[in-house]
Amino acid sequence: MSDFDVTAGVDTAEVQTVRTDAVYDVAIVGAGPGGLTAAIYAGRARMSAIVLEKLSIGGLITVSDWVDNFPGFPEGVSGEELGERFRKQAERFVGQIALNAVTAIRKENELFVLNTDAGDIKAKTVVLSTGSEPVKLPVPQEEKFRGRGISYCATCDAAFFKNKVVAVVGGGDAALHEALYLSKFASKVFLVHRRREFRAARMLQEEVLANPGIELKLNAAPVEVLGDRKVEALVVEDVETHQQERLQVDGIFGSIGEKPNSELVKDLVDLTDTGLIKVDANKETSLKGLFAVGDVTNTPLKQVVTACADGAIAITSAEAYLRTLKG
Amino acid sequence: MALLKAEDAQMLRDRFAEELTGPVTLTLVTSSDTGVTSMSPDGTAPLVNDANRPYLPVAQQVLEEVKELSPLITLNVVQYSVVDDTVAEFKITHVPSVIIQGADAKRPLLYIGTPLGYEFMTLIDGIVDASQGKTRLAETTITALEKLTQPASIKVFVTPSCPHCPVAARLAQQFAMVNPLIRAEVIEANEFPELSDQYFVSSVPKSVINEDREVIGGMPEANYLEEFLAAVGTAN
Repeated sequence: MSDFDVTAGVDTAEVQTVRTDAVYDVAIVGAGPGGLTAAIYAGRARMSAIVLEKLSIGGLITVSDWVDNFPGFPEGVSGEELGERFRKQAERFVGQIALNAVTAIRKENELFVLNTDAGDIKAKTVVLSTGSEPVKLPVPQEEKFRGRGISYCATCDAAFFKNKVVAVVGGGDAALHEALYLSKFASKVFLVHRRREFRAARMLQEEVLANPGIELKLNAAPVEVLGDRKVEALVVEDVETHQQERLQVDGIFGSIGEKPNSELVKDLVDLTDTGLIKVDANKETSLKGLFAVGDVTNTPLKQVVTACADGAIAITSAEAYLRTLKG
Repeated sequence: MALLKAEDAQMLRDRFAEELTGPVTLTLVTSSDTGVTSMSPDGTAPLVNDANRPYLPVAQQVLEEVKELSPLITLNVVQYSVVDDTVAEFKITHVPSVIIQGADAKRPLLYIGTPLGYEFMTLIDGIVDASQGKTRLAETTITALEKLTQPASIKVFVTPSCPHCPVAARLAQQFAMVNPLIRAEVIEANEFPELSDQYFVSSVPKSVINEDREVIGGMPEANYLEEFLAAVGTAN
């Protein structure tokens, strides 16, 4: 985003007040790409829909600096703009996204009851699009230094590390993206990964290797964060030799995976060992009428494009399910 | 060149026509003394320095464009001075600072810095709330905040490119609207690096409650209230 951009998130769609007196055809929980695509399809199917988002519309993609692999954007697009475009399109069909948190879900007499901070709402079907949140760095000092040098979002916080030294921990696409982004601000980026090889796409790996501002620390795991009132160093340990090295850093960015936000339904539906919601090809969970999409599910690929497809499929399935209720 | 796109300006004009029910005064505290050497009152940096200098004209332009969107909005531009009444009344220590006041002038919304990017809607939503004289908080939140009998402060550090920041910023500002004992300042971290360093801000949004308890990230209202009450030492 340019320094003087005022237009992010200008939101003037028709406000949706959460209605506790009505029964919605579908309640969509979470307004990331999956939920917002579900909203488009629900609106076009003339389903009465409410979309609830507790934090930020657009989801995780809005903090991605640049997205080059979402079809339709030959030059790529910023994560922020992509999220914004999803929001505007969804709101065309369902009105403004309700900024409310869902605190519990239960099924009662064929209806789903969702407790929200604006009251209880009832819906015949639910589409869960709650995504995930970053796995925290496995160091004892994580909580002490979170926000005082430990971060999980490079695009959000890179500006605080201009001309400073940072470490990025991780080996997937996200970690390499973060390292490349941070190298534009920091004087040096250590990229710390516990294996010898990265999981990331080859193109990204090539870019990282060619970047003089990024120093690789492979086969290395973070073990301790040092500092008085803020991060001053990261101690890493070689996973084979157990030799330790102290990296003098001002910031540490964790990019070691995502934990699915499935707590709302952990007692309602089948989950995998790692907490992902199990869905079939129709995006239905083990509970009839409850669908799930995107990063919170056991999808083979966690990307914006797959989350969007999930949203469309889920609503189509929800529609079919609604017909069985009437029939 | 206008900062607001024409279609966004028109949509906001329509929104204000529908939602503003009372007058709103925007006060911008700024400084045209760009060669200044005087320190800001907190002593952390010169009042005007390399970090905030580029934003001073931008802040004025943003507010001028917003003012044009409704006849109910008035804009006052005040040059910073330690003897200025407005500066003293609202304890302004940095420029640019934006004060949003509705009919109840005792419950201002304070924005320290320039509300751009995602924070632009923090400004717009703040104007609507000030105009209507009411917040969007739940009754239970309002009841809990009204019970506060000691002064409390919330500083929310934000940046324009942070999508979660408006959540924390809006909650803090609405808390201050409920109870005048609560002083809430939304601070744009990029413009005041010394202030960010002083509070060890390296991740936004960061809320600092009563100069003591730190809360990282945006969160639902009930959770934010819980953090606030824990900080001020009042059990809910």
